[in-house]
Amino acid sequence: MVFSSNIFLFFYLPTVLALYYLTPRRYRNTLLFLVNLVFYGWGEPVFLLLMLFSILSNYAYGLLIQRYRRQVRAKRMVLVASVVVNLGLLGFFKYADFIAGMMQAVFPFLRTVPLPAIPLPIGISFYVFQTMSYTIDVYRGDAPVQRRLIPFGTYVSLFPQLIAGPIVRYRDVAEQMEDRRESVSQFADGIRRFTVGLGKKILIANQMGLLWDLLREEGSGLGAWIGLTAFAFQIYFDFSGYSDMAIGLGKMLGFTFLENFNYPYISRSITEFWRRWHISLSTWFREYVYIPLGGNRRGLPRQLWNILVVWALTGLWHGASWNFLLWGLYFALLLMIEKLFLLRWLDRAPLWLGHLYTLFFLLMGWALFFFTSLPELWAFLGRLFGGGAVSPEGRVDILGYLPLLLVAVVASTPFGSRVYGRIRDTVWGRYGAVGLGMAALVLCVAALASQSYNPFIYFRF
Amino acid sequence: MDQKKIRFSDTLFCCLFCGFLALMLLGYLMLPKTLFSQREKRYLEAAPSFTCERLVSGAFAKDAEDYAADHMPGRDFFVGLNAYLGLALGQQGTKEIYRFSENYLVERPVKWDQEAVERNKKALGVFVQKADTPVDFALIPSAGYILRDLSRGNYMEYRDDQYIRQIYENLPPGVRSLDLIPALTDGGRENFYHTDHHWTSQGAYRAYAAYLAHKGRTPLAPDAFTVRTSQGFYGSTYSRSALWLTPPDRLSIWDPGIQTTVWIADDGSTSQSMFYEERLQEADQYTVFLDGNHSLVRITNPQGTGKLLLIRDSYGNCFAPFLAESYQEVVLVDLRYYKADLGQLLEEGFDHILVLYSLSNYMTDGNVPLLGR
Repeated sequence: MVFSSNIFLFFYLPTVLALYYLTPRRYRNTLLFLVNLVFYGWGEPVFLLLMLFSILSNYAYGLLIQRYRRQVRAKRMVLVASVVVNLGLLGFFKYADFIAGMMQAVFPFLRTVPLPAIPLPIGISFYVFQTMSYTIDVYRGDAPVQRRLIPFGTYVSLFPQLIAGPIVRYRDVAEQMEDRRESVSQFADGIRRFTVGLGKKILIANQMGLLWDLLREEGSGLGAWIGLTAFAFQIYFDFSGYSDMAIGLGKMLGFTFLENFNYPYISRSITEFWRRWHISLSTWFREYVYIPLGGNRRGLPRQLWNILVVWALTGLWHGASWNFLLWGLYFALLLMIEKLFLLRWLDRAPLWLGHLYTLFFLLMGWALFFFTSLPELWAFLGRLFGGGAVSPEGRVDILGYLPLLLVAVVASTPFGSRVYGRIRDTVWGRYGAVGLGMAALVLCVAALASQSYNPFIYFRF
Repeated sequence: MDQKKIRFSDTLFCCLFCGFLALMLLGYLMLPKTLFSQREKRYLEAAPSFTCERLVSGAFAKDAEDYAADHMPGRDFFVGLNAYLGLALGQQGTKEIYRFSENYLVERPVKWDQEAVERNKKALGVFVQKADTPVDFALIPSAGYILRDLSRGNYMEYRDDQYIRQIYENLPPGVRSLDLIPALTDGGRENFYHTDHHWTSQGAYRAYAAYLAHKGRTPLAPDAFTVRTSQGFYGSTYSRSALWLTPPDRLSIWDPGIQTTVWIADDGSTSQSMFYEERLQEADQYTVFLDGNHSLVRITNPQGTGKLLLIRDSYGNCFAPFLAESYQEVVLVDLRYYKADLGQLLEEGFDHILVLYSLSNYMTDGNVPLLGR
């Protein structure tokens, strides 16, 4: 089920909210667990088995690690087993085809064997990382073990962040799983966040996607640049909108999740960008890969190697394809260069130069991210740097979407939230937010009613 | 509870949000469901059937989503709201329709399709070989092209004149082209509807006059017709644009006042009038002309002379009653529905043959090549 659908908005959500608040507090986790399974199983019920396996196995690892907490070797054995099983799940469902394809490239005699063609279960990249964070944190003593199955299952399958993040670490919500207090003001906060996210997704991201589709093959240099910018906006508003919706829904149910985006496009370096973009994923890789590898404590060569490893993995996390690996390595290279000298230079350079540099390399990165085939990528880059004049059709498309592009530019900066922060305690601010939120909701429903064009970019990750 | 004081604005927000969702849910559950959407011309998704197998395979979820999309409470209102939001954000209409000034809703410019043009040309060549009479060929430019002066700001250019010329210059031998642009440019605004892609009776009249002059016949003067007008016509571009505030058109019937018999092959029905006026009560009033689209229609007029074969799209429905004034028999063939053998039909013998298509249908309708069958 996706948030921007009639079934979710008008059937699932009102029913869940009503049931949740009618249920006595002590049964609310049980209720949430059940409705989570409905949410997850809606489109492809068969993957419920996978979800249940994931919950049961990681619940057991947690208990075992706790049990052997004084026996270092046994405890480590359990951890290794849990990591192997979790990564095995991810590897099998997400990378089997990719690896098989690679094997065929290396060993031609394998080409007669058909690829396994395994369907990707929704959200597996997100919940596998969540369950791994749980067992590792319990092993390290950073998180308490969860002895009851229901709250643990509720955590793993929690519907707001289940299929597109953020990746919520168990330690960040451990207390909330046991005891959380819902309130009117938090619920209203949640609605604000949810409507903002829905608006980002439906009113901006989807439209930017249409513009990108229109301009991708248009042929002119300007068209390619604006198209690529539209794609950069599509992916940001799509993904951060989804995170906003998840955080908002969490608040409606009494949860507080950590932020996942912090206006990434205002960054002045790639290093800064990755502190602002998909924060829960960067945090996960830093916490469970980069620092265990030694981070920056074992000398510069080792640090650079660690960066390379982390970013190769980050790239592959986004999808089982060569271009995602390249995309990760591309950022590894940029981050290494920044670490070596560029950050120091940028600190002294004028502000605009840092922004320009960052945006340029981000756009190149998105081109790499989008095109799964290298010839298509080259053709696009050719248009980007050597394209002709704008065609009449391209001009009409660009001008038609210009107002929305400007909205996207402003909405990707903290301007709006600063203004709101200033007036939030005035009567105008409070009722203005109510009015805007409801208007955004109605307009989103209007767009939903008209557009069948509704693919979530991150839906399959 | 939270220590903070509960603000009324927060309570209000919660009530409005939950109230809206609840209202929509209730609407889904309580409102009567329509089976057929007049505006979209299609049957809406039926309620999903529930079986355990369909639930497990995910088919139930898919159907339920389609059903929820089709039967959304206030769907027309929301679709319209979205269309007007698009206008407010600087779009000139919707995906398919432009809004020109003076409330003209016109189709976007047709795109050149080289393949279709080649295919149709070949079919036309085969057809003209089979027919022993010369074939006349006319393409109707779009309303958007004729009314292009009413476009303001940021529009795709209409190139109908260029495209039509290009097609005319490459016609197979034996096909004579008839340029309708001058006739339709004259008094252009009244030649097309505001809310429909078709030509009006006046537009069809002008084309009729041009065609008869082309054939060396004398057309009737406009005042020879009795004009009856129906109010409240909302056509195809209205439904497709969802700009519901656009005022309706008036639909005029130009009746030459002659004795005719109309025979419709599909159901074998006959009628003494070319105008099916009971159709004016329906949403799509354009079907008043010859009862809408049919595979084969014969109009006979004992006072007329000669026999005409008209291969046409829906623009011909409004056009043929004018020709019926001049010809003893007009036979209309719509290749989208006519599946019988054209060669056999040609054996009846025709004095004149006219292939009449709107440029956009000629470019997009995959049935035109059936001419060569």
